[in-house]
Amino acid sequence: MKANNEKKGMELFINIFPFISLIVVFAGFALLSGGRTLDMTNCRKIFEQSFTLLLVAGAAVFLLSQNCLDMSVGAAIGMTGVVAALVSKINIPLAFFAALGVGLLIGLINGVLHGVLGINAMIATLAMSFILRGLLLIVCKSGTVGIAVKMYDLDEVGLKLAVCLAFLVAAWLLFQFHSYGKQCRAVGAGETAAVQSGIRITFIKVISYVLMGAATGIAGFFTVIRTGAAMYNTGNMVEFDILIALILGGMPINGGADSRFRSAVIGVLILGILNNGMVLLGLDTYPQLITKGIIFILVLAMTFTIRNKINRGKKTA
Amino acid sequence: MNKKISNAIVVVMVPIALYLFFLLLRPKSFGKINTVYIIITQSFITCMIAWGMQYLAKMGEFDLALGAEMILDSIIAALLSTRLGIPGIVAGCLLSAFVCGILKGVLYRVMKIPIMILTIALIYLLGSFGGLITNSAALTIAYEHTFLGRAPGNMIVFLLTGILMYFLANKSVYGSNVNAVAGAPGISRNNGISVERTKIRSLILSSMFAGIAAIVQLSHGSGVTPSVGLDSIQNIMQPMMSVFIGFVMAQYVNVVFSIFVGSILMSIISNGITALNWSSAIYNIVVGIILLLIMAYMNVAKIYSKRHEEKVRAIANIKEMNL
Amino acid sequence: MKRKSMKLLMSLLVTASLLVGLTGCGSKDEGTKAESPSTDTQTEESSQPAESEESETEGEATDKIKLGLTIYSTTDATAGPVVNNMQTACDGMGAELVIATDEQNPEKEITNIENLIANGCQAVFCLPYADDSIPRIAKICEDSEVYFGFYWYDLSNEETHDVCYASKYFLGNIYEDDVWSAYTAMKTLNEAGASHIGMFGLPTGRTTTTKRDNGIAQACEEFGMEILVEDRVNTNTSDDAASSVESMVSAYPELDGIVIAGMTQTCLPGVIQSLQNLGMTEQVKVSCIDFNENQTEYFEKNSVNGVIGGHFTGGAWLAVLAVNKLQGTPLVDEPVSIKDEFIVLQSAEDAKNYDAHLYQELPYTADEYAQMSKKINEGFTYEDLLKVVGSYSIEDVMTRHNVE
Repeated sequence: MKANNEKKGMELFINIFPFISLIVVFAGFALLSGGRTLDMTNCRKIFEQSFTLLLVAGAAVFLLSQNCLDMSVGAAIGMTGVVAALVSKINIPLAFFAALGVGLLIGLINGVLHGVLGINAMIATLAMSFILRGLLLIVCKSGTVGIAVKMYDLDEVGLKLAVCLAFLVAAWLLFQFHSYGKQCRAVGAGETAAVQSGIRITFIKVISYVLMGAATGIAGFFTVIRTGAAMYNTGNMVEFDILIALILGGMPINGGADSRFRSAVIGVLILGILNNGMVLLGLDTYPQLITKGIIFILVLAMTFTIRNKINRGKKTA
Repeated sequence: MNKKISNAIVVVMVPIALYLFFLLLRPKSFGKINTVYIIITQSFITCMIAWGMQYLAKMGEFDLALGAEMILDSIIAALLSTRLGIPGIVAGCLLSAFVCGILKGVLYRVMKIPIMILTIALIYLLGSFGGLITNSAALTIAYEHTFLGRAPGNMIVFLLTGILMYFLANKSVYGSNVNAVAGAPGISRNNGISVERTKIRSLILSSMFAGIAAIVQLSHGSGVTPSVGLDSIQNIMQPMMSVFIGFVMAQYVNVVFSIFVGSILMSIISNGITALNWSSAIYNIVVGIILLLIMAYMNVAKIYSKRHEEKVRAIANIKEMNL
Repeated sequence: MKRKSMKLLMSLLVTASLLVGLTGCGSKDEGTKAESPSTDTQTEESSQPAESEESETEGEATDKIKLGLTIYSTTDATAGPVVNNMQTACDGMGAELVIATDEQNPEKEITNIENLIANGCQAVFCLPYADDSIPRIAKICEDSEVYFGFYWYDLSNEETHDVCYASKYFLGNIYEDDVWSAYTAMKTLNEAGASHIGMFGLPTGRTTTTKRDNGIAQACEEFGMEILVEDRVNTNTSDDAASSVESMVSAYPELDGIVIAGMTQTCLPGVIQSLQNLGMTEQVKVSCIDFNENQTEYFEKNSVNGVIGGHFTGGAWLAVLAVNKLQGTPLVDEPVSIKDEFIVLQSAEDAKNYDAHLYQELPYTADEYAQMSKKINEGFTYEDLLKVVGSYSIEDVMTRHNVE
């Protein structure tokens, strides 16, 4: 009985820990910065800075819940961004669809490589990342590709908020309530059992990567609006930001039944507040990196230790 | 012909074929023995890092902090070299590598975090530590201390590391444990092999091999610049590719040799691109495509072989029933 | 089931409220910026709307002007002196400097600018990594009513020039003659007898790169030199540079010169080391743009023939312009474009003097910068500033600091 209560307590704690982290980080920086973090404009800036990461992290939940990775996200954002920049000079709505199309294609290729050909996800997407960065260098001629001037009109918080909410709500509904989301978690919990249950793993994986591709398409489009140009290093290291954000948000790294969509939103917000707050405090580069590293390790330690205890409890029960 | 020899020939033909390809395109550069020498020596550093990485990679884990560790090792070695010369470089790199390995092992043991995630966190800490020590300045070592970065110094280090690697992979209990854990962790655990301890040892070993590579790298380039953020991950992409290529070829030859061949392949591509004055974009694309082709071939071959086996078994069963 | 639904609802509510809270319901530019130098603290204190600049002169003497700088590094041999000089200028003139690093990533740079403005900076300075991101930078600063300026950047692109000059918040840009610097680097190689050159360069697409490439092309045409091979993006470490040199020399045996037109901090040690290993230090001449910490030693060993750099005071000049503007005593009403001078080192003595008087100690002291603030020295004019900028050289510094 006592063990049961303890286990329930730990489960509750692990569920609310990401929220606590978010509140602590937000409140902490609000205090330390003398309230500047709370300023409406600053908060809006945090959202704008986190916007593209929110999209790709939301899509990454589907992948990570299946214990899959996508190391080509950054390069894909760069590629879709450059396509958007190039096509924007012809027509802006066409640029959006072109970016989306390229993103979907990249996602499909990744899905086929991992889902159909069975290549390890990390290796397949790493190789894709290499290829995409190379193509990006060729298209950008190692430099930059500017966007059409009219595209700046789309740099509106309202539009971004609408796109973000629409994408996240749709993704959340798909993950939490649709059988597809449940199947993703089932695959992460155990592939063999999932196959025996009649889940078409190949299909699930391919669709997840295609979804990720769609997210990178939209993210690439809005990234170039933000910077005004696509460069050969656009989207650099975004795949690691996604991983860090999801972990901070409480996502189990091996996926499975404990995967929660909210990890994406909470983790990205924590990361955004961290990055913003450290500049507000005027921290130099290395103290910033050390702070990030320590926070990351502490959160990891906390969540993994508790999760392992819970799982051990489940096994002995 | 002896199967081993024929397999070895198959593996060796791959870099030879690639070399011939570039020879056709640029005979002026690739038609010299000096180019072969440069290609081989430039593969040493990549190969030593890859040898260290392969233990964890076999078990499905990736240590992404090796790049940041090597930079930190080089920084400490460069600082010690001002007082102790070459012994300072060796001691600095190896001690720093050992401490980083122990740190990773302890954190893994205590926190039970997946190694890839743990090492991402450590990149921030190790990179920052290096930057704080040097105040972001680049450090260099004196020319007279760079013996281990050129022949015969780098060759001696490489050969000794290769012998150590061969022993560990093929003749030691540790190597067998890694293979067992990589193949079937559950069964290994039941047979008394500690999966956790094997992984911790692999973490320490990967750091040590990276430390040895850092000795040669620092001596070769004579300088080190602290890294910022996750940039150091780029430095281990080439060794990672060598590991993957090596694993594919390991079905034909010993993994120690196959990883070396993988490193040579990467070095040939890099030199070929420079010789042809092609954009570095081509290098990225070629490497990515080669990796995909190799992995796709490996997986398709595995699936085909499995189906073929099932077919043969089915035919044998039918024949038995008919009898 | 009920508990699960409650948790779900709670998490939805919290997440939604955070999202909405972050985007805010207010209008875009609701007095969120510190228009007056006296409001060092908060953006919430927007009760003083931005009026004319005369109101700024009433700022309390104790409230500091805050300037923001985004740069790729704070302490390496190239970026470090920029930061040090700018910091000294701010210290001398009684201003505060906030720095953020951007790892040469344009997205990070935009993020830093936004965060610096949120920090309360009244002027921000950056090196645009892409010409096309300038309209974006201008818009962010205009919307926040914050002054901005560029260091190490030539606004020769007409479109971006017009965008900047159309903004009342643009202070100006400090640029160097990158065509001249690259041309001079090649000239030193030519004078040393080199004509078949290997190049380490910056990624293309930036004005700096285009100008340096033009300078190199100009020198090639004038002196009959040839660029045999280039390495632009793949050199992350000194070891990479060393390997690159080995490959270059092997592929092109006629190579007799190497020009490093960027990434000198990383590349130069590797290049020198590689040539020494190959025994080709006499045969292959080296020159570079941007200084390196070990250049004195390299000159003493005849490993390098020419180093062009020292263009580190641009940030300080921007600080001078900004502080004077923000305290209500502008040196000039229109945006300016000031050419910063390079220093050419061609001998060990040059390098030693540079190291002693412009690197270990700074070319201008805090007191000297203080005299550039009209609040302290009323008679200081824009023409005086131009004279100071134009006279920048090792000899000038040694004379001013009474060094023999």
